[in-house]
Amino acid sequence: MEPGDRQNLVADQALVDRAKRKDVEAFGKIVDAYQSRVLGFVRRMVLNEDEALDVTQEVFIKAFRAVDRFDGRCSLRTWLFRIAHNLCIDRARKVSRSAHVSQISLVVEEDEEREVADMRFDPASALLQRELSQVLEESLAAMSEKLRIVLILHDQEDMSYEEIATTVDIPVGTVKSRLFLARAFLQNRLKGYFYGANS
Amino acid sequence: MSQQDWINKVMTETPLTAEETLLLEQELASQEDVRSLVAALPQPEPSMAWRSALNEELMKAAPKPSRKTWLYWGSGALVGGLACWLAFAVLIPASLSQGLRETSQANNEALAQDLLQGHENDSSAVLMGIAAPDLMVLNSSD
Repeated sequence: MEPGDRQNLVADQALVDRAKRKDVEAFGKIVDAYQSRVLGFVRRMVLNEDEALDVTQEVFIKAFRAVDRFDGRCSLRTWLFRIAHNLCIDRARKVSRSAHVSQISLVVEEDEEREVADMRFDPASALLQRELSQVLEESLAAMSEKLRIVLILHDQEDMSYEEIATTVDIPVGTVKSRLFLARAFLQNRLKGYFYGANS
Repeated sequence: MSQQDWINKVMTETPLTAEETLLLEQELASQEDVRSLVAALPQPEPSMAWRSALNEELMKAAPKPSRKTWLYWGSGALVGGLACWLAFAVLIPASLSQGLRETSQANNEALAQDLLQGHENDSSAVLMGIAAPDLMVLNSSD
């Protein structure tokens, strides 16, 4: 564990202690620290911007209501992502995914509009980055949920195999297998993109 | 162990042997370029409106102060208020009456001084023949 991570854990614990006494201000600081990451995860799981915002809000409300049951056996981040994962699974059961695939490109475009500063300095590379991000997002959307969860938690959230195993409730060996398959899936999809770009 | 067998085991999530796990670790290490691509994906930032709506929901979810809490703080405030009122009622009139006493004493002394001065002036006037003693009596009876 890095010293920075340890400091984060101590700070998290202090906020959790206050949040357990239903201190909304302390819980607000937890929200500030994790809202972007939780939303990023949820958005890639539910594949719809509005739904992702609703689910993320639900994650934090549920966490606030249940924070007194948080026993510190896992990190706060793992606990929050576990709630997010469970809510995404619940939502996926209710909503059919195919109806939302067409909206992915819109979501990606909205996000990339925020990167105006990069465009000003190097428009060509920014354009390529934007295109690659779009291909990546589409590839992620096309991937099965169980592979996508592991890939996002490991490669984007930088979670350890053990943390992912706790979050998703699967053995560590399965985490590794799924991560390998998810990356192989992406490699396969990106191969086509890169060959196309070179020709 | 053939490559195909290994892939099948990975795909069906069958528990791997130590040797197969080592191979999986090596394959994962060779996929680091994919990892960096995924890590570089932009994270969305929720809007202020979203945050404000969440805050409202959190406030709703926060437990309201119970009746007992209100009674506890309310009775404390009541006792404090009574103590202040009593202190005001006891200490302020005392200091006020002391002030009045001092003022009336000062007034009495000034009146006595004036009377004495008036008497002395009248006596001097009689002695100097400016005024007659009976006139003084008449004047004083007026």
